[in-house]
Amino acid sequence: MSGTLELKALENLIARVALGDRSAFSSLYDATAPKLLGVCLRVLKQRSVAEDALQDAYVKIWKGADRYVSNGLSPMTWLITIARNCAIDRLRASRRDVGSEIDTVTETLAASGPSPEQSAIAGSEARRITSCLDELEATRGEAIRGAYLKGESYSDLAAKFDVPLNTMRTWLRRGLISLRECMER
Amino acid sequence: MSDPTEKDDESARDSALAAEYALRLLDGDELRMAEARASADPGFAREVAAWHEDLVTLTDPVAPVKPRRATKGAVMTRLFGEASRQGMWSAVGIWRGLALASMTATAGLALLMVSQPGTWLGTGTVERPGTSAPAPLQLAEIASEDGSLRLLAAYVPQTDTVEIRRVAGEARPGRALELWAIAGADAPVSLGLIGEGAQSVTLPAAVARQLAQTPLVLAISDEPAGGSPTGQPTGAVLAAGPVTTL
Repeated sequence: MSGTLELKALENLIARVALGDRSAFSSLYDATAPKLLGVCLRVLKQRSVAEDALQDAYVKIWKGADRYVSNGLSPMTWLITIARNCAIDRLRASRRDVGSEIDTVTETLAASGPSPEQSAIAGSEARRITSCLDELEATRGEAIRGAYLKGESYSDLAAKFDVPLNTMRTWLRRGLISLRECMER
Repeated sequence: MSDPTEKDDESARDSALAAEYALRLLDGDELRMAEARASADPGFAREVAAWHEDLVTLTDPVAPVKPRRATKGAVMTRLFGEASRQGMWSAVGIWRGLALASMTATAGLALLMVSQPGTWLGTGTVERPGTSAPAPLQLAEIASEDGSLRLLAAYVPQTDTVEIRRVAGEARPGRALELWAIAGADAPVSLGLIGEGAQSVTLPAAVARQLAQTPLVLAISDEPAGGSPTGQPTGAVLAAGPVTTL
C-alpha cells in the first residue's frame, strides 16, 4: 500500500469526513486523489473521463464515509476499490446502459462485510498475490490482472485471448482457485 | 456432504465466486445472487473483503497522477454547491450589500469599485477621486483552503467595527467558530465568536491602530462552545485571509 499518509492518519481523516468535516475531506482528497487517478487511468485511457470518474469516486467517498467503519477494508483498499468501481462504471456505461446494477455493487460493498477485527485477521494472512499470479499459467495471470486493473469483463477477456466466452469463464475460475490455494500455502 | 474433499471444493468454488464478484466479472442473475449472499452471509462477505485486500496490492506499482486543479473544485461543487468555490470577486452582490448597509461615507467609492472590477483588478492601481476621498476600503475574505468555510469582512473606519458575513460553513456540533486578528508575528487577538447571521464586531483599539501600519490577517479557529478558554486559539485554524486595502 503506497498511501501518502499513515494508516492511522487516513482512518482519522475518514472518521472526520464521516462527521461531515469538509476540511478533512479536502485533506483526504489532497493525500489520495493522485493515487486514485492513477488507478482510474488504468481502466479509462482518456484523461478527461478518468478525471470524471475520480469526481464520482470522491462524491461516493463523502457520502459513504459513515459506513466505512463497518465494511472491514483498510482505508486505501476502500478508497481504491471505490475509484476502480467508478472507473469501471464509466467504462461500461460508455459501452452499454448497465444502469442501477453497477451502483448496487458499490453500495453492497460499503454496506456489508466483516468487522474490522475480522479484516485485520484477513490482512495478517498476508496472501502474496503477485508471486502467486506469477506461478499461474501466464495467460491466466494476465487475465486476472486485466480484469482487476483494466476492468475487463469476461467478454473482453474472451475476445482478447480469442477463446469462447464459457471457456474463458472456466479458465479464469480455475485460475482464481489456484491463486487462492497458492496464497493460502 | 461430510466428505472433506467435497467441502473443500465447495469452499474453493465460493472463494472463486467471491473473487469474480470483487473483480466485477459477474452480471445478470449471477451478480444478483452474489450480492444477496454478500449482504446475508458474513463468511462470504469476509471472503470478498479478503479478495479486495489481496487484489488491491496489484495497484502498488500504479503511479500517482496529479489531477487537474479543476477536478477538486468540481467535486466540491457537486457536494457542497456553487457557494463552496465562489471566488472572492464573484461575491459582488455581498460586497454591495455590505457597502450599502454599513458604509455610508465610503459607499460611493465601494460601489464604484465593486461594480467595475476590471478598472482596478487589471492594473492593480486605483485612481481615487480627488483629495476628499474617504479612507480606503479594507476588506478580508476569510476562507478555508477548500472553500467549505468562508466569511467576508469589511472594516468600517468611522466606527472601528468589522462587518462580517458568513458565506459558507458552520461550527461543528457543540463547537464554536472564533475570529482572530493577527498582526505580523504578534499573538492573535480574539474578536469574538462568529454568530449565525450578519455581525458587527468592534475592533480593540490596539488592533485598529495596527490596521494602519501592519498587514493584518483575520483567522477563524475551531473552539469549544463559548470560545477559547485561554484567550488564544486552542483548536485548528480552519480559515484565514489577509485584510486587503482597495
